[in-house]
Order: sequence, then structure tokens, then C-alpha cells
Amino acid sequence: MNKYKIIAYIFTLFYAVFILNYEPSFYNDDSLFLTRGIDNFSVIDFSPHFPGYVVIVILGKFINIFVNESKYSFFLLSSLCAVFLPLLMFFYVKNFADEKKAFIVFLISISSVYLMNLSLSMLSDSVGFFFFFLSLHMYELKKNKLTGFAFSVALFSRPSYFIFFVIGFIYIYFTNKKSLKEILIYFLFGTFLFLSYTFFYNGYLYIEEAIRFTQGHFELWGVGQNSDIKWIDNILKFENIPYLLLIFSIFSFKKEYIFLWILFLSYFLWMIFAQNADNIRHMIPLVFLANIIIVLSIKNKILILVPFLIINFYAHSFYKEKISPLENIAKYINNNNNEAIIITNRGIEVLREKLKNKIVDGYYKNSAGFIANNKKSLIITTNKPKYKNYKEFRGRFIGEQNLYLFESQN
Amino acid sequence: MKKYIILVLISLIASINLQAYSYAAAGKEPTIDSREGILGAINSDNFVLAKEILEKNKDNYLYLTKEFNEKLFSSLESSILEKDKQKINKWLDVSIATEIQRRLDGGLKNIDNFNIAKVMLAKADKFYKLLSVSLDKELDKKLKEALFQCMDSIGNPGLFGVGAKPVNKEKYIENEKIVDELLKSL
Repeated sequence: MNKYKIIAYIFTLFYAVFILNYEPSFYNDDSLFLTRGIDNFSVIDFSPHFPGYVVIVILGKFINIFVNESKYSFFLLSSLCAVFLPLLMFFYVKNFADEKKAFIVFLISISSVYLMNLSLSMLSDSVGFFFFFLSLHMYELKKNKLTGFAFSVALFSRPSYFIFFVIGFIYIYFTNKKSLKEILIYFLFGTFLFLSYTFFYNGYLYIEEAIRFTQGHFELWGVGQNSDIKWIDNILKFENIPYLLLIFSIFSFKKEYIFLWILFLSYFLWMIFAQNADNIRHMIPLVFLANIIIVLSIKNKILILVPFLIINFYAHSFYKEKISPLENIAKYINNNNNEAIIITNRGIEVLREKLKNKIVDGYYKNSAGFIANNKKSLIITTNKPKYKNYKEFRGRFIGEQNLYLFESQN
Repeated sequence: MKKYIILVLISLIASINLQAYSYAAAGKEPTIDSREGILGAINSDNFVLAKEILEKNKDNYLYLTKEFNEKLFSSLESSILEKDKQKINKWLDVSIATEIQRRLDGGLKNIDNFNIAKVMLAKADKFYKLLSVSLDKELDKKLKEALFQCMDSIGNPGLFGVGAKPVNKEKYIENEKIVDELLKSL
């Protein structure tokens, strides 16, 4: 076996042990909803919310046969997909470059702070992205049936990576018409399976919830966000300094890697126009695609490795927490036996599950304002309060926003 | 090269027309929306605006008054005229309570149609979560339990009949009565 492959396996094993030493903890309500879906798949009960993330439910239920605890089962599923992502990228890059380049992609990916986000957030991102890369790898291996099926697995793990599938199929249509039919048939086969499973479990209620959710999303709450963060703030972060190398990549553009560039640019546009800047995790696919593009286009490997490794390792030192800010807050309130009403715009359902306190959904800001003005209450926000008396709960990784807890002025 | 440009353009159009998934709230509900409006108005001591919002939603409040609580509209109106914030909030809570009664009523009428009954109860639960904050612990506990029992009473058709659970109409009626009584005590 080649030395790069052996080292990649060993590093993956160490990273797996490192990640599995973390306690599973909910990043937000979506993590809880996905976990509930493993116990009882019902979209109308937000378990999980529309569109249902059926692959997560199926795989989670399978793991849960052995683990028998839905929270840990989902943690295993989402974290292991992230753990194995750099290794999968290694094999993917090896299809069209030498092992050394593949290993450099592996190194800068496994050391990335963004991988910590995928590994610990307990969301659909890691599963969707893992299967998306698996489908890319299968495509390079010319395994059309597996490519098509893996495409559908990825789509039904994380439907908001929709743009990748649209672009992927259009690309195949233009460049490899011969394979398109077979890939499409197996994609549609997977789609049929997953949709059938969803309908058998949810029936007509799925349609009912789809209408309510879509209407709510477009007309009520989908366009808003809970902070003032803009995409430009997310892009211009210290952790992203090595990605300045993309400028060199543009000048050393190679036609054979155009598909990766198209995926990158398409997703970039999708992110800017259609994704909420509150969640830096929406940027993660760009990060890993950029890792490959940079390594494939720049010859000087030291120029890549030095900035990436220095900044990645330094950036890891910013994050010391072992559990999420939400679960930390719940622990803090429980330990202090504080029974005040809690007003929050984050993790409402997680807090309802963890605490006996009454929880007010900050989305209804006038009701929340009335309570804050008239009753002693605790307020949780992502914006640093102007008052001095607040407690800060820090995130575990890049993109997990710090939460602030303070008493209302009553 | 032309085809690659087309590909990027298609992706641009696709990105503009589609939105990301996000968190959810209760959805469009006139009683919740007008409650938010009235509370927003009284938070800034604008009782004229509160009265305007009430008038704008008069039909909805009159329906709830007629069907579930005969004092609702007149009491809400008089508390706004009296500029009594606590009383206004109390009657807005009552309006949310009547929505719970309304959905439970709908659930009972459709108890033999699992899908409709389930939607009704899911909506009742969303209203309950809004009301829960204003209830004392004992009342809240009893209400939550009665709503859970109603949910349990509608049964489940199962998957191709596997895991099916029959409807228990008597249990539903019994718990709906408990809910009604608890909510009338507000």
C-alpha cells in the first residue's frame, strides 16, 4: 500500500477518535428535529421539518438498531460522514492527479476548522456533502449506476444542495451524453424509493405541511435572519486567508478541471442569493471545493501547505468549548435553579426539551417584548448586549455563534 | 466554452429563483398576527393603533366570540378603550385559547379522517405553545396532558395497516371537555 494512503488512513482514525470524544450536543432546533425523526418520522410534527431529510431518517434508524439512542445515532451518522470526507476527497482527487496532490487535499481538508463544523453540528450538511462527493467519485470511476443512486442519496440527505444536482446533470448532458441515461435512471430510482418512503410514513400530511412550510418560508420567516451578519463578513474571515490562493488558481486555470470551477461558481451564486448569511456552514461546500481547485492548479505545494496548515492549526485554538452554547445555557440555568421565563430566538425547542422554564419564541417579537417589559425574564441573543450584566456562551467551532444570556430590565 | 457559459448562467437564474430552507413558525394565522399587532401597539402606548387592528380583524374575533367565548370581543374592545395593558394581554390570551378550542372541535368533527384530525391537533399544539407562557404551572400541566390525550385518541392508520391504532372517540370527547374547562378558567 502506498505511504500516502496509509498516513491518510491513520490520520482519519485519529480524527475519528478525537471527534467521538465530544459529547453529542444540539447545535440548534434542526439538530433536535432530525434526531426526533429517527424515533418517529413525521414531517407535520417537525420530526424533522419539511422536506423530511428522509435519507438521514433511514440511515439514522439503521444505526439506532445497534445504538438505541437517537441522539447518539444521529451524532455518529453526521460526524462519521464528516470524518471520512477528507479520505473520500483523497480518493476522488487520485482519479485525475497523483497521490501527492491527493494527500495535500486530504491534509488541508482534515486540518480545516470547517471540518469541525461539519463533524459536530449534527445537521444534514455532512451527510449530504459526503454522498455528493461519493457520487462525484463514482462518476470518475465510470460507475454510472452508483453515481445516479448516490446522487439521489445526497439530494434526499440535504435538498438545499439542489444546485449541485442541477449543474451536475446539465454538465453530464453536455459532456457525456452516453452515461446520462443510466445515471438518470438510477437517480430516479433512488428518488422514487425515498419519496415513496416519505409518503408511506407521512401520507397526505406531507403535502399539507409542504404547503404551510413553503408558504411560511417565502411569505413570513424565510427571508429574515436573526443577526446582522452579511456574506462579506463570512468571506473576509481570518480562517479564510489561505483561500487568497484561489487568485493564483484563476490565472493557472486548466480546462480539465472546469467542472470543479462550475460547481464552485454555481454554488457561490446560490449561496449569495439564496442562503442565509446567519449560517456560515452554507459556505462549507465552497471551502472543500476550493481545497481541490487550489491543489490541482498550483504547482508549488509548499506555497499551499504552509499557509493552510499554519492558519488551520492556529484557528483551532480559538475554540475550546466541548458542548454547544445552547446546551451550555440549559446546563447553567438548571444548575442555578432559575425559573424565570426565557425569551430566545435560538433553539426554542431544544430549550423546551431541556428546561422546565417557560420558553417564549423571540420570533413573535411583540409578545416577547410585552413579557420582557412586564415580567422578570432571561433573554438569549446572538448579538452582544449593551448591558454589562450578561453571560457569554461560546461556540465550539467556526460558525457556531456565541450566545448571550441576560436578565430583562423589567 | 459557450456551453460552460450557458451552464453558469443557468445556475445564476436557478439561484435567484430559489430560496433556502429555514426555521418555522406557526404560519399565517389571523389571530396570532393581530395579537402581535395589538401587543406591538400597546408596547409603545399606541392604543389608537391597537383599536384599529382590532377593527381590522373584527370578523375573525366575532367568529371566535360567537363560537367559543361570548365575552371575547367586547372585553378585548373595552380593555383597549380602558388602556389596560394587562387586561388586553389577558383577552388576547383568551383569543389564543379559543383557537385551541376551535382546532379541537375540528379534530372531533373529522375524527374518522386521520389526516385532517392530525392537522387540526398539530395546529392546536402551535397555539398551545404560545399560550403556555401565560399559564400557571398546574394549569399548564393539565392542559398539556389533555391535549396529548386528544392527540393519542385519534389513533394512527399505521403503515399499510402495520402498527395501526384505532380511534378512541370517547377518550377524545372526555379530554376535549377537560381542555374546554381549563381554558374557560382563564
